[in-house]
Amino acid sequence: MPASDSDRSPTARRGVDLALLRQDTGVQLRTTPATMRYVLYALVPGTLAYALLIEARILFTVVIAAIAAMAFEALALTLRKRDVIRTVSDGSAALTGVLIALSVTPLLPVWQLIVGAGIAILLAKHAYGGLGYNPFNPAMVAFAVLLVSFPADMSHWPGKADPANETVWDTVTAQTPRDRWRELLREQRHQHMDEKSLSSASAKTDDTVQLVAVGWRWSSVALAWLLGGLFLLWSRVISWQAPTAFIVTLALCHSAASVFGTTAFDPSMTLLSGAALFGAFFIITDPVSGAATARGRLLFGCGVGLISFLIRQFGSWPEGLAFAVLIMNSAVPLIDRLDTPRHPR
Amino acid sequence: MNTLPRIQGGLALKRHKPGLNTPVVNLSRPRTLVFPLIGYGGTALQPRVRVGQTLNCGELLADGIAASASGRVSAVEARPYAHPSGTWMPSVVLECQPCVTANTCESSSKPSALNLDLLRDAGLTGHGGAGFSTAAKLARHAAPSQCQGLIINAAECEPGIACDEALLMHFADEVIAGIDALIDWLQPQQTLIAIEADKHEAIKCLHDAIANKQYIRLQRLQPIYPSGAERPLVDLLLRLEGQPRLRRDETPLDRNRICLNLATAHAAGRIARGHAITHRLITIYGDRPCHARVAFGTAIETVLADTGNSPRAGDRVRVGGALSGYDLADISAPVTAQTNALSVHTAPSVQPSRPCIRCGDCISVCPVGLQPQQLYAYARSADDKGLDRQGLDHCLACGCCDIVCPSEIALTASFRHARSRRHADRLSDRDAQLANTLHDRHQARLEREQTRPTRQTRPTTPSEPIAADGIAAALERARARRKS
Ligand code: SF4
Ligand code: SF4
Repeated sequence: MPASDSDRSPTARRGVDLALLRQDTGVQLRTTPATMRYVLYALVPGTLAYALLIEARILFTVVIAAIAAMAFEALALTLRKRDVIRTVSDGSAALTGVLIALSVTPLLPVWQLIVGAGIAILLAKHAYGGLGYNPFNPAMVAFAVLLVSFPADMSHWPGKADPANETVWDTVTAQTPRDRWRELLREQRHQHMDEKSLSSASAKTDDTVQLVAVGWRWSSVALAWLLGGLFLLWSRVISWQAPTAFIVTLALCHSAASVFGTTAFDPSMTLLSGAALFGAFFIITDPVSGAATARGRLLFGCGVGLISFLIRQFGSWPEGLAFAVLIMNSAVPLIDRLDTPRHPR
Repeated sequence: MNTLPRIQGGLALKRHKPGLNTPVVNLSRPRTLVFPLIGYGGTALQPRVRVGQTLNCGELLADGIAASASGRVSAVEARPYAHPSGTWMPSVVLECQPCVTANTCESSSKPSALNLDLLRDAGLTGHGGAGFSTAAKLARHAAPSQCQGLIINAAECEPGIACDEALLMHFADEVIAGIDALIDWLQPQQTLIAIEADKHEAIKCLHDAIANKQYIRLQRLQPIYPSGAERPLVDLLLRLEGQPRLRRDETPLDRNRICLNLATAHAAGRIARGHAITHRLITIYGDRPCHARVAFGTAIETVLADTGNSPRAGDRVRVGGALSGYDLADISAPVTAQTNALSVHTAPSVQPSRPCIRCGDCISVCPVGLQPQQLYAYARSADDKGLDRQGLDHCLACGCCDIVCPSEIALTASFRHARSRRHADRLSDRDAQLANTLHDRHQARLEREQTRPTRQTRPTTPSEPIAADGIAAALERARARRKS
């Protein structure tokens, strides 16, 4: 049973009198709606950079997804006979919508985006009892379902506006230029084996130039995410454990992989190109579906880092974050169990 | 200030200590005093007095409750007592001569050295709030001569409560005399008074009072709520000494540390000087914030009226502070040794809570390292195993988790509720076990009797007709009598 409004009344006389405390000491801490608002503010620089450097349509999809998510939330609350205005205005649904829009390609058809918002709100959130009770990150559930259902649309990423190159980018199956990089490397290896045509080689060089350009753009967006993330850390909306553990694990795995020679990925490229920073600060820090304790969050971040590395490296999807988050979400009860206070102070 | 020691977790709250700038008010003692027969943890006490008995000031009415005036017991009956539920409890009602000076109890005996019996006979209970019998607490300490540290807890951390601070500002010498009496008795290796550094006035008075007493040390602390809770405080002091920290199953007494509230030490000093424990200092916070010396048993209503703080319609009266206190259902309830503060305030609008978003803020402030969000989940589902695993019994009910919770969940109230529910469960478990045992014994006896019928000494069968005849004869006689 979700928390009801009567939570405070039966024991009200015996409980902490927050109103009196505020009157006396002025203590006023951040409320849940404020937390959601802070996260939305922190997403602003990244979203603007995205719109300016990659694809302006992102502004449109973000708004659509947020509205759709709020509409679904209102629908679910009406069906469940809950206080619609109070709950929708807490901003958690809008945040989920925005996160979905930011994790999928900005070129995704609008109806698919709305389906994603519906899955996140109805299936991943309200089927489990609404805010606070969802074991899985709603945005990542939507991402995973969309990726499995519409693989072609989901992998249609904005690369270069030049239609001549569209075919190249059409085949790219990921959010980031990193996958293009991977393809290039593979092709170069082929070239070493049979040096056939000079022309194709020069075309590859062109590609690389573009790639560097695109890489610069994505890196800027990634840094804008980092900026937002630092704001959240500074305002203590999120704690440092999960993002740090995630980034460190990912960097270590990739360095190890390049040392052992399976790939030639540059760890900084890995961190600055992919969804890594976005995920580190805005996805794996979702409090509801993540671990609640400090140690638990370290473990959670490590787990997501490791699993997403494995998926990227050995799996068929180039971007493993969503699945890594979902897998670790399902491990949260276990993590909570492991970190029960054994020696309270 | 940041170099000062601080407890783990907790919160820095803005200082709010009302009523310190006015002189202490000596309230006159009313004609009727009421003493609820309630002991530590809400246990019912047996009265030691009869209706009509006359008592001297300081005589015990029940274990841990002394008469605060000489008078006559006019009734032992149910009366309202200071509790959020508003239920009534058996109480001793004492009629006495109203006393205007209200200074000290008229009957005072000779000064004597402190000992357990003296404390027990004086009915001294902790003045901190929990109300544990001080004698019982010290009796649990195996060897008083091995006391390694006497800790006087002057860390009164909760906003809105300042009675210990007022005590220091106005009666520092009496407090120190009390501490001296305790030192003479317990012979601790060291004595320290723990106080938050932001109580400048009180610290100054204390400094003056202990100027030539090298054996009492002042330990200043960062003003963090709840520094005044015994466990976090003793844990911090042990940490400062470089000792291992308090384990979960240890009490301060297990480590030979005796921690007493400042007002309790003051009261102990009065006992040593031959006085009875009749009054205490109370912070009153309403229209006219002040501190008043009030006789135990005085109705809270009277206290508020006499200090000019009577509640208006719609006002709420709260005992204790905003965090650990509770709202009174009935303000005719009397003042007890645990009444440290009274506040009158207007009823604010209470926001309904939102669901827990597992943000973990409550975990980082919990001074005993619990996980309130998990406790809350178990408390809601009444999962006793989970509650035990999370250490519900170690919760101080300090309210820090409530303050930081962004969803404004009444966490502490739910822990209190879970605790009292489990307490009741345990009691009924005990009753059920007792009933089971009795039933088993009864069954066993029946079986025994069935398997060994030959050993019965009295022949039962022949006696029955005789008995039946006897009854018939008696009935006959009775009928005859009624007819005549
Ligand atoms: S502070 Fe409140 S919302 Fe946050 S984890 Fe604790 S109980 Fe949940
Ligand atoms: S009320 Fe209990 S659980 Fe909450 S912070 Fe205090 S000790 Fe921890």
